[in-house]
Amino acid sequence: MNVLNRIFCLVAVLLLLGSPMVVSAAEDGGPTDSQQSLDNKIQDLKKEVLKLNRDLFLLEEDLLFPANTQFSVFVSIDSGNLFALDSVQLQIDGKVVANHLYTEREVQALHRGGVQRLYIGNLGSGKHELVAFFTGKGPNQRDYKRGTTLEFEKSADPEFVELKIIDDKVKEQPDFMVKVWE
Amino acid sequence: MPIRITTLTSLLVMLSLSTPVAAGSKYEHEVNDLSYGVALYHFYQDKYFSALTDLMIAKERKPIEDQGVYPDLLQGSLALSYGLHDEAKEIFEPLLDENTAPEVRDRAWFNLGKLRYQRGLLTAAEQDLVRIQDSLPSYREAERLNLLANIYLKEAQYDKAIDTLKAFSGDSTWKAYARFNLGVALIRQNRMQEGLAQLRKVGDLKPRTKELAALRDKANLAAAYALMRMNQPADAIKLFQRVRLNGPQSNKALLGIGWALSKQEQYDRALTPWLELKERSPLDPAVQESLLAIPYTFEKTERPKLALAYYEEATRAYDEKLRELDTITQAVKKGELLKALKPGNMGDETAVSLFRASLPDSISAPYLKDMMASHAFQEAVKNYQDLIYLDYVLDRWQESLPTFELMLQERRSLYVQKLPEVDKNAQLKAIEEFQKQRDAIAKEVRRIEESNDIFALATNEERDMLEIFGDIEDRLGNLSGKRSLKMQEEKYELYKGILYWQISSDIVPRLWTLKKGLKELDLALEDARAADASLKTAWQKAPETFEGFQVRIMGQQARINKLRKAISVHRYQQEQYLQKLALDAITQYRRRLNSYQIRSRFALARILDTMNKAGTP
Repeated sequence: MNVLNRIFCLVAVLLLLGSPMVVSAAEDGGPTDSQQSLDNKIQDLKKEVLKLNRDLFLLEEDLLFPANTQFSVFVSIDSGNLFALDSVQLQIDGKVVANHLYTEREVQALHRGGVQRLYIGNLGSGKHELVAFFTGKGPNQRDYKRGTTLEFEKSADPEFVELKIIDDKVKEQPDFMVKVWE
Repeated sequence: MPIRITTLTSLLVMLSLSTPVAAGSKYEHEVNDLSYGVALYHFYQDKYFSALTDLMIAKERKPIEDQGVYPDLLQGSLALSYGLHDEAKEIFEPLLDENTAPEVRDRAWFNLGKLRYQRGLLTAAEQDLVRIQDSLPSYREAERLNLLANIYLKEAQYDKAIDTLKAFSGDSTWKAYARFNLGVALIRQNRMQEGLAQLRKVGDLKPRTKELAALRDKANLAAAYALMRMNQPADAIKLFQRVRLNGPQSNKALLGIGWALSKQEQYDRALTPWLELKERSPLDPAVQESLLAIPYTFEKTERPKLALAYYEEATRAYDEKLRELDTITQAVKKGELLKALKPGNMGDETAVSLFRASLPDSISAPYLKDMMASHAFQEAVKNYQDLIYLDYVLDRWQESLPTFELMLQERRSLYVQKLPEVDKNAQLKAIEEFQKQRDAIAKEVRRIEESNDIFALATNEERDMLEIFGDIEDRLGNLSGKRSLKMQEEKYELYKGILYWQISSDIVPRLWTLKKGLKELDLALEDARAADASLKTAWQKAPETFEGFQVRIMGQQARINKLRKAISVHRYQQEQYLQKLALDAITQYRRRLNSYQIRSRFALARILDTMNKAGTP
């Protein structure tokens, strides 16, 4: 075999076998035994950390936000084509308790049906007032700021309030609903 | 009102890795449970760890209701995306039950099949994938067929792979991939004509996307090299020329054109693409090869001086690259690559997907492009970054635990302070006082009812009237006998009678209202007693609760310490593995360069020898 052919064969083998011509990921070949074993160990570790993370969240909630005073506020978007959300400020009984500036990914997640837990805190039983200010762009790209208010009676059970951004198609304006979950 | 998910696309992407939401389900557009919505919020941001935690917390606190099997499907998909293959399998398997809706079952089979394929369990994967009926959306069905075709190729069942291609409906990217893989596999088996036929079909595609354009280039390139092996250089050139000039395969195509022309003994024409290639990035193997091909051609066309000059240039270039490889090897060994693989922000759960968009900022990256695109490397990086994130999560919890301790201490101190007040039973005494008042009212109500004392239930206005009547009666008494008061007495009797009638006709509702009030008072007293009892129980149990929290905090602290140690060990092992992958790839690269360098030096020696013998200066 002359030099040209030897080089050519090298190229052909390189192209057809050596380089990742086959596009499907699994064509890379399976993992080695030792890597498989490490991979399994990492899987187990991930599961353990997930369980611990869950338990720590539960501990935190039980300790810092006991059921009888627990109060949570959630944000969601239902359609919401007339309002591009930038930020939200939450006040309870006149005190600012949460501010959130949204990233594009977060807004996308809300548009796709995700629900954000904006706030968790403690409230005593009795009457309270919640005010949420939404800032963003309204129809015709105009700056838009709207507040929504809820007066409510906190019972001795955990309370969940959902702030929902909706479209008022009749008025061609965004609207903000408050829903108290049972 | 349920939350609407706006488009079908978002729905299909919802369980993006491998689980589109089936059409027609009651729940697919709706979020009826806040916990489910919160998990989706994290999932849509590729925060798989957080989303899995959300679902696990929901299971512990209050299982998600009114979402059908979708929370399970979501959890299975999340587990799969997060590399928890065994757990994903455990979640999907119960969904294969006969009672499960066909579209859900098909999706579970699909996920399991893909999972098993990724784990190399080809027979089991094939069984899963062929059981699927007809409820998968078209793009997922195409992926299923591609998986099946790949399985058959790996099992060298080429005819079955060919049959699978016929099952694709319409054109899809997956079909193009399957055809390409089949073409390459057939050529490897020396079934040249069949392989070429498949590759040509991909090479003739009118690409709608960059991905398909890249695949088309690869197909033309592979077909062209196959034709070269079949000694058909003229046909090969036509295919090489179809590869885009600025695409990632253009260097290989230029190299191929040169070889094809050289094979037809058109040596001078062969130099044109190679000289063009020589000016391109010296990191590319095709460029390195051209450095050798050019002087070879000059030698072949009996221009030894030019050949000598270009061999010398090639040798210098190889030397230089080999020295660079030494530097890179040292850098990789010292952890330079690992540093580049670490996420810029340790708390970024989504670092892996961002990294996939571009090469890491490492001096070794340009040499390791192919290796870095491999499944093995990508998976290893994903695990590595996951481990870094897990350590970050535990580190944050470790920082929080002292706050928990402090909170517990505060509560204990408050308890000790308040304990004497609770022990005084002040609240219970107040309740008893209220009870006495209640009993007195009840006694009075009974008396009124038994004695029919209707005036006792008069309103304030009526009482005022009664007082006025009393006053009038006194005055009438004083004046009686002094003059005739018959008319006034009759009027007095009439008005008093009217008032009596008014009160007596309303006595039943008034008594009912009173009794209702008493019942409400009873309930309020009952609640107050229960609250008092509950408070007392809570206070009595408080030390026990404090102890429970203390035990939990200490227990979690121990778990954090243990897991952080394990993470550290695994992270080290994963680093070693990543470095091995990189160093192996560098060794391969070096081997190829060494081979070129040896040939170049050998050719140099040979030419010099020939020139010396011929007496050429």
